[in-house]
Amino acid sequence: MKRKLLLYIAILLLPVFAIADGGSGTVRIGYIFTDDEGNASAMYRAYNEYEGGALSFENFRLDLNNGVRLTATARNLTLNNRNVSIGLNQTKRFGVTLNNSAYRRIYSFEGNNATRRRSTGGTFYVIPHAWVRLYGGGQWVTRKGSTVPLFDVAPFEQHPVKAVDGKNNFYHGGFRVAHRGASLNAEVRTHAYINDLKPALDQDRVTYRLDAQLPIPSYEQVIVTGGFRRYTSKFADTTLEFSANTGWFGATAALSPKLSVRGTVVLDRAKSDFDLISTDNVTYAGYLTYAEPRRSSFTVGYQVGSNDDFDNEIRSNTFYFSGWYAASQIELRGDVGLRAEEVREGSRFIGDEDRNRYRGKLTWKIPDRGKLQLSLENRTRENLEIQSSTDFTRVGLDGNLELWDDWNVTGSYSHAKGTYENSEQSFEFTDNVVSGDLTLPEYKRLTLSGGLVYYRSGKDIEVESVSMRMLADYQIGDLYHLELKYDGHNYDDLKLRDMYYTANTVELTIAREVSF
Amino acid sequence: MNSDIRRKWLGGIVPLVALGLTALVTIAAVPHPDTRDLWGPAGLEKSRVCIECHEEEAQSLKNSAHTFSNFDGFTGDRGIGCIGCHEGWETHLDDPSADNIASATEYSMADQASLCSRCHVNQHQIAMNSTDPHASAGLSCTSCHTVHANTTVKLLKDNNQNFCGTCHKGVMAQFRRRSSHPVEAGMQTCTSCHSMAANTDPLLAQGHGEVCQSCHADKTGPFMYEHPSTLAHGTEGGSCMECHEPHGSPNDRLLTSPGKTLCLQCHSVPTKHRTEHSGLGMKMQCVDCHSEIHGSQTSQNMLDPQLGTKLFPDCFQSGCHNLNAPGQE
Repeated sequence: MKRKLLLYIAILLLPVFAIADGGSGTVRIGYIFTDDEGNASAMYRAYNEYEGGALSFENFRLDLNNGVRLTATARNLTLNNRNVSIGLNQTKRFGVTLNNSAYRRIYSFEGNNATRRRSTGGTFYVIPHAWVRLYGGGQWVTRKGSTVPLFDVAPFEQHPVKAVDGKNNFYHGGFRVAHRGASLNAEVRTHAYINDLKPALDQDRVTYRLDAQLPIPSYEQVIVTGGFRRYTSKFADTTLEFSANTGWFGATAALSPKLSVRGTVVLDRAKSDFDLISTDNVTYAGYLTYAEPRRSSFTVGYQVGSNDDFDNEIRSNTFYFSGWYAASQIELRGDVGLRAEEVREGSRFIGDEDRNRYRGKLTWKIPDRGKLQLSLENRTRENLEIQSSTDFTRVGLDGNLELWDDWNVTGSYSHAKGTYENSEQSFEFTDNVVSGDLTLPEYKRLTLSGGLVYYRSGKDIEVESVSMRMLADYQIGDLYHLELKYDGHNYDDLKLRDMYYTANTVELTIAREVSF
Repeated sequence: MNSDIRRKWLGGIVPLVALGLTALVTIAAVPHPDTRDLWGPAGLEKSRVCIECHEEEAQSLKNSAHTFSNFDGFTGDRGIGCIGCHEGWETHLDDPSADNIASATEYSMADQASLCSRCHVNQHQIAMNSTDPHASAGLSCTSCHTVHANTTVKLLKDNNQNFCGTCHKGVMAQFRRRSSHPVEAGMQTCTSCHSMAANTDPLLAQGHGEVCQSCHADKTGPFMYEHPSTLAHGTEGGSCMECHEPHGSPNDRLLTSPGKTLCLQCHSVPTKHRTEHSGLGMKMQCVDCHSEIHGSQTSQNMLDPQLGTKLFPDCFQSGCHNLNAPGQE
């Protein structure tokens, strides 16, 4: 029904072609060949690759004389991974978008346990006055099929199959009034989960949001912000309601053109109708920033937080430092977060905790060529009470360079190492990720590009995966393109014999640029 | 505990109010220029002269927000003409040299921001001048937007819905990993999550998790027993991104680390768990039993409700050991 509605709307919009001032778009028609082997649930990126003829209309746009604009994109209309969106808008007046997508999620080796999903929806906004914006929308997501337990399920073992038939309905609506830096935003969001197999699992959620921002009159360098949230959850099999109320407040003030201060406070309480137990979360944070515009900046911050439930109270203190310095070709950035959590009352499983994070990045801007970046990140956690610690370090090198004659290269490499230890056991893993894209300059109307993502983890987990793509685009005349696209995926868990997957997809397409 | 929450709230608000008052007094002592400028009908009328020579530039604004005329007359309701942006026009009228008229692209980053913010003062501009990293990275308005001969949404330089990828190439590469949000499939765009123009919480006091709630409402709660890492109150890090890599991950479900290694970074495995269910080489994952990992209404340990109580486990209802379950006959 929803798809039909979308189609009717599309047909109704057709007459606008007659009054169009001009427009453009691309029509693509082609065939997709697929070949795969192995555990179809292993590689997300291959879930929605289908074999067959494909018809797409991309980036269509009509400009009418009165400034109204119609946009439309419809990908893979003839396949089960179609994706349609239509928009109608006039700048600073109104906008409407409609969308429909079909996709699937695979859960089992053979792919026979999968859920088909459809997402249909739309949004709108109206600007009745330059200061006022009304907006809203809805999204209906259906999920039907069957699943088996997730996370590395072996196909050769028997696992219970669970039928799935349900809907997620989302609606939202609100308004925003904004003028000269002051704004008020109110919004309601609802979410209904409807389980057609087990109605007892139905759930309803509502979120109310109110946000305000105000520059203090006569003190334009002071901006005060604040807001309130109320979240509620209701379940079909009970009359109970769970709710959370969150208020937040903050201010930024420019003490001088180079010195600013900002602070925030968040007050939150989650509670249940059932046993009147509630959990309070309170956070205060303050920051002081000194900035030399376009040259350097340094920020010092402090946050104190409290998590207080019926049995326990945990207090946290966080120090935060960040800074950057930019010269003509070199840029240096870094930040440090040091957090200590202390169990003030009661107890919790992991006891007290120290958690720290250090990050740094050095960027070298090469004039007319691009840039190279070296980054370093370290995160540690320590729980003395249970004699547990973790240490995670990542080093990365990435760059974006234009080499000779418009050869564009983007590449990155990252190496990560993580260790976990407690009094009884230890665990260690390493990650190596290489990714790169290369675009060659056009040669006799032919443009070639390609890319690769390689991932390898080692030590106590051994996984290797590769995704690669290649594209050849040959321009025929002024309007036509012949495209040959290849996507390949490979996934191997070297410790789990059933977790392997290989897929190859080839797409041959003729594209025509349309203008009218 | 809960009874003294008011005292704790007040204890934090008082220093904040004191800090705010100090800031107000300090600012009052420092003179600041009034950057507001109005560009009404008088400015439009003066711009009429420009079109005598620059008809093409005026036409290039047609169908864009900056159109100041319907070309039958000066009826644009935005109240901005050529001289609203191009400074130096008085001299240019006397000596029509290109050196005597300013173009925004020739301005310094700070001057560009100052120019545009004469009219555009909303959350986007405020964020760009405070918490947004683009400004501190040395970018300004014309890095992303262009005014003339452009009718794209928000006057972005490129109609590509993932225009951000022009600079953020590394992020675009992340979308090609094993699990990722469907940006490449066209079902989402950068602005599905990164709301540059409608940031209602420029201080990020609510944390990053609020963005995720728009689609993943079922993970939001409120729950009776929340997984602390999902609480969206971190001023840096925290919330959903404690465990998930939103752009794309080489691991299942956009997780930052594979399988149970993620849980082990915070949690110790109790001795009594050291059975075939949870040995490091075993297939069972923590979430196979602790399936209510985002929050639970029934179990403080986020256990699957079908597992029964901790002391009286009902493994035969969990689905794992039920030989009569569909598919296991």
